[in-house]
Amino acid sequence: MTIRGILQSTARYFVLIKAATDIVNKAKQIGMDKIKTLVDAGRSITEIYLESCSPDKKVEKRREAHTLLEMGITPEELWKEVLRRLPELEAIIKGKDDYIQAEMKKIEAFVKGEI
Amino acid sequence: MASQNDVLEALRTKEAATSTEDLAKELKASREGTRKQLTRLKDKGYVDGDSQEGWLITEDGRNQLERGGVAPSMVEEGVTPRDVFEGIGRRIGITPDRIVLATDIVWSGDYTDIKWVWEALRQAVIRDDLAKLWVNSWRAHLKKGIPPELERELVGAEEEQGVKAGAKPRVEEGRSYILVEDLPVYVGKNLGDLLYEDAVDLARIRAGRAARGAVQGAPSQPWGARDIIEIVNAVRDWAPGQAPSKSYMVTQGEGGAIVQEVEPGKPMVLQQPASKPGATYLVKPDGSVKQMEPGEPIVVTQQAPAAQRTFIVKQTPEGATVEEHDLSKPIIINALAPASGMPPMYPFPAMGGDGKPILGSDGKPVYVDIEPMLKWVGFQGEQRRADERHNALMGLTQVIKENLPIGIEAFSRAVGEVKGKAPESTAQQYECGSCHTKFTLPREPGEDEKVICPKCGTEWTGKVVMSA
Repeated sequence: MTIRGILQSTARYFVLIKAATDIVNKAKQIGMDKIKTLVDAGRSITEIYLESCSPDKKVEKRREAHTLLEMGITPEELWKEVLRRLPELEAIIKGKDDYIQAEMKKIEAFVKGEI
Repeated sequence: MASQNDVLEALRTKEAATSTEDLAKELKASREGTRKQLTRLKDKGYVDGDSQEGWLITEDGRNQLERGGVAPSMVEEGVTPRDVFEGIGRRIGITPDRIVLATDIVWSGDYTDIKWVWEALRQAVIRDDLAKLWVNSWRAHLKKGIPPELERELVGAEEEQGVKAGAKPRVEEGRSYILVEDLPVYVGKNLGDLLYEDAVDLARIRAGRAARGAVQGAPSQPWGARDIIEIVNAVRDWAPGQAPSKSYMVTQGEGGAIVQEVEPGKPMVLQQPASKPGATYLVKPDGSVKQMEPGEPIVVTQQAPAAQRTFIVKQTPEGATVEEHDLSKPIIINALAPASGMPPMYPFPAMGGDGKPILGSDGKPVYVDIEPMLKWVGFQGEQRRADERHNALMGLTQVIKENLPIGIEAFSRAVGEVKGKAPESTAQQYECGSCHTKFTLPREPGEDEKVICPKCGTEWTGKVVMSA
């Protein structure tokens, strides 16, 4: 890999880690116990979060999501990075693959501007 | 008054300083006049001293005497009527004492009155022949004629006899006449300014001028036929004893007035001068002159008013240049880059509030130097850019500071990817001793702080967690 490739990979990791860190910090701000409650109740955390955002904030988050996609970062990769940084979240959603798939679709719809 | 050479000569023989009074006495001159001459000689450096300490001749003064003496100007010599009168006396050989005596007597009365001068010289007991010469010379200087009362004494018996005999000896007497009130006056042999003929002619001319009233300073004008007739009549009146009056005919010719004598009994044929109209000249706009023939038409073409001319002021490295603009061509303004090496925009026409150039009192545009304003605007732009650059750098520094750990981790993972393995997350992970669930903590816990497993809820102390 050339220096240029290292720099591009560094930039990609930077964007990925930055986005994952923001999500982790937001989750910790909410509190893991509340997240466990919401997940156990089947409520979409993504939906609740977007409802609390202003239109400008939504635009900003959508732009960040586009940046991630342009750099080849998939939602699964970002989710994996979040779980990597927040292992207790992994314990909460363990065995709830349907919930995770539903959340991924909501995020995809948001990035596309459908919601 | 003694001359400057006389004063120098007198001082040359003196071993000690001599007073002004002693010099005046020696020179038989007035004290005041001698003092003036000494002052003039002192200014030239020929004498030294003053009226208080006396006067001495200098080396330059001695050298000047050896070279021929001082050549004073008329002004320096202070030529006054008295000086002239005394000079005449010296030239005809009168002794100095008698000159001073005679002059004092003359100057006790009216020295311009020839009769008084003659009387004064008689009182000074001047010899008759010398007195006659002195008076005649003085009279010539004053441009005065011989008074009738002194004609016998001043002219002499021979001339008197000639005059009484009715002869005309004066014609051969040379310049012995002057004009007094436009009349020739005999002033003695060769003592006048004019010959007899000249005096008579001049008197006639002046009489003619007086007859037409031109002697009062009227501006001279070309003489016409009327003037000539007046002159002829004036001469005829002045010499009534001449031949019977003649008749003259004056005709106006092309070269001026022509006087012809009309002989008695001889018919005179008057010729009508050919009437020749004056030539007509046409001056063309280009300045050429053309003589027009009679009857030839003159066509004056009306010149179209000149169109308004437009000038363009260009700023070049050599300075401002003005060119006339061809109205059929567009005006292209090249906006030069600031760093093009061009001189500042000077001069620049001052524009009024109505958008039109401001004109000066001479009607020309007023130019101003906007270089200081341009420099100020440039300085403000530089300042603004410097502030923006500073703010951008500070913002970037803040972003880097905030995201530096993320950047370091991203770089480490990129390098690890190159090596074939992804490094573990730098976040500290803990494992529950009961359910073996891995979890992270937002910060490192204290020794007595409780840490609860997010899955099984087992409580652990910070000391235990950190030692695991």
